Amino acid sequence: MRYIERLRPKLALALVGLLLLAIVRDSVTQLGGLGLSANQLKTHAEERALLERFTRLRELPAQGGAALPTEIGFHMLAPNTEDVEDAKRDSALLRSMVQYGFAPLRVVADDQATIVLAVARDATTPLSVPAGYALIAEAGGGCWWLERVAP
Amino acid sequence: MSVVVTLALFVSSWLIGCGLLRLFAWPVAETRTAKLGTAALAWLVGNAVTATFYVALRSLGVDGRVSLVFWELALACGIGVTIVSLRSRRVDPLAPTLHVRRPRYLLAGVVSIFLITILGACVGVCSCYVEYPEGRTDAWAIWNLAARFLAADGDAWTGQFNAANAHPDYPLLVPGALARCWRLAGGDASIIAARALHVLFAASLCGLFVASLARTRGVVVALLAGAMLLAPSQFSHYAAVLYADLPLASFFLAAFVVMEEAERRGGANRCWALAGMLAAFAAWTKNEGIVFLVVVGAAIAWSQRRVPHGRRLVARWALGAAPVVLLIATFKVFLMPANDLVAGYSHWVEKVAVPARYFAIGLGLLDSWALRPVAMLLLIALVVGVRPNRGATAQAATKTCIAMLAVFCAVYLTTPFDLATHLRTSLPRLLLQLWPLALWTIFNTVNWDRLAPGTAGVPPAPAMAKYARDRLRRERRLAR
Repeated sequence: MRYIERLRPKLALALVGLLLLAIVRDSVTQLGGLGLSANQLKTHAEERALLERFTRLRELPAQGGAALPTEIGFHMLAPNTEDVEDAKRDSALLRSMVQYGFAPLRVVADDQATIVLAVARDATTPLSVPAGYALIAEAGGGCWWLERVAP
Repeated sequence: MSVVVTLALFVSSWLIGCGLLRLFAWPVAETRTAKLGTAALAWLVGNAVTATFYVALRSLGVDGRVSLVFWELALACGIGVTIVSLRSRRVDPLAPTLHVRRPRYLLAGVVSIFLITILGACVGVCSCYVEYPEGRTDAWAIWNLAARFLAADGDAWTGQFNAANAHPDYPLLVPGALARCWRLAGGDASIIAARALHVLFAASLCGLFVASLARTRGVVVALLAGAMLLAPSQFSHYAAVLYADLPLASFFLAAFVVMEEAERRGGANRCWALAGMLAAFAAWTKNEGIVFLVVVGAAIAWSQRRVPHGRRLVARWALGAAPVVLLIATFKVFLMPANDLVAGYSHWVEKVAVPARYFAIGLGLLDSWALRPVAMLLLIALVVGVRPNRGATAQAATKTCIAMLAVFCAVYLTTPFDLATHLRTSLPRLLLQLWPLALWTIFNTVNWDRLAPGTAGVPPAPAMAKYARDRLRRERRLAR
């Protein structure tokens, strides 16, 4: 019993040492994120190039008379939550748009797996979903339906 | 220009917070760590109050920038006048902190590790900014969208409660704080303001955590705990992706830090009301905070049942929470649609009887990021032992952490959504919400003094006696 009592502080110190090692390892892993960020920036450049394909985006002001697209919302409709999560994760388009600097307004599900772009009039006016649809209709007399694009 | 105004708004929140701390008789900070803790707490309180005030003003129809600024100034003046009229400027100093001799090499080692974790966390935040320039999905689909609505002109802000939006029932403290910056600073809805807000929340949380533990358990233990708080990549990740989980964790922690201070001072002082208000702000930050408010209320009532003046201090706590609870109830009843989790409940009896669901939840917890560090700490607690005379607040904190975890598991068990998806998308965040409070509780509970005498412990008896004499003298002087 006395032996266990004598061993106790050493065991505790060893555990604290392990804890410190774990802390340092986690922090060093985060420091390693610096290299990953550089790779990520390169990926962004590729995604920006992908976005260039959506030329219709640039035609919006001419078509609808709306201001330059300072905000863009896109709507994906899917039958259940899991599909939405998958769609969010998989959609290169969605990620590209966010990383391109546009602030999307809202994501919902669609069984047609298509994406609708809604353009707000200005940066300070947010859109609810019905208002977004109304604005799309008003701006171009229809929606800009884009097929899902493979990255 | 808008960046300068945004900074001024943050400073204004902080000053209002300082005033409110005086109003609630928060003790004067005398040491460096105490000043750090007070500054962090002031920012949390001030930011929560100004955000809530902004949302309340918008709901009352106050729309113009000038009117909003006028009312905020009126709020600041009101607090100032109340402080003067209550003569709350003279308050007790904080109870004495530890004056122990620490080996220099030990302190240097712990400081180095703490600095490495801070650096790691900063790099983690910057990496996330590169990967998610607008925050992750919930940030732009829920929190920042709500802020855009709240910053909009006229009645457009009520569009937030459209049932077609993503989670229109979510509380509005974080969106309110951001909308206040966007609206009062003018110009575009800047993502910089959102990032600054969330980083300040994370920094305040860290500052309050370290300062509080430094006062009760010594600097060495506090820095070790601080390093442990910041080390998991989840901390920096959720600080950078603009979710409301870290702000929520801040209020969880702040409520208990204030309660602990109130308990140390003894009696049913005004700090109990401040603790109640902070717990209510947690409920105004995320729906999980409502569960926290109920659990903490029950835990305090239970822990204080045999303490002298226990009922009075629980009443003060409830009184502090009441105004914010009233606001939340008004929004929940009259404006916000039903929560999808609550509205979708069905067949829960059948779900409870499925063993596979228990297995999936257990597996999720075992596989979680928080398991290993917490298990290691509990092992240390087992070897070293528990601190005697921990006090009612520390016991309430333990009960709260266990009860919150139990409620989360119960929600998963009966969730109307696909269990695997629900666990995958929310469990890491829920654990992060409890992470600072759980660490604070464990570090306050473990008897560190047995491990390395002199690194932690209770303040020396002569210092406590001097503190009690000074307090008595002050009270007599104030009574005269």
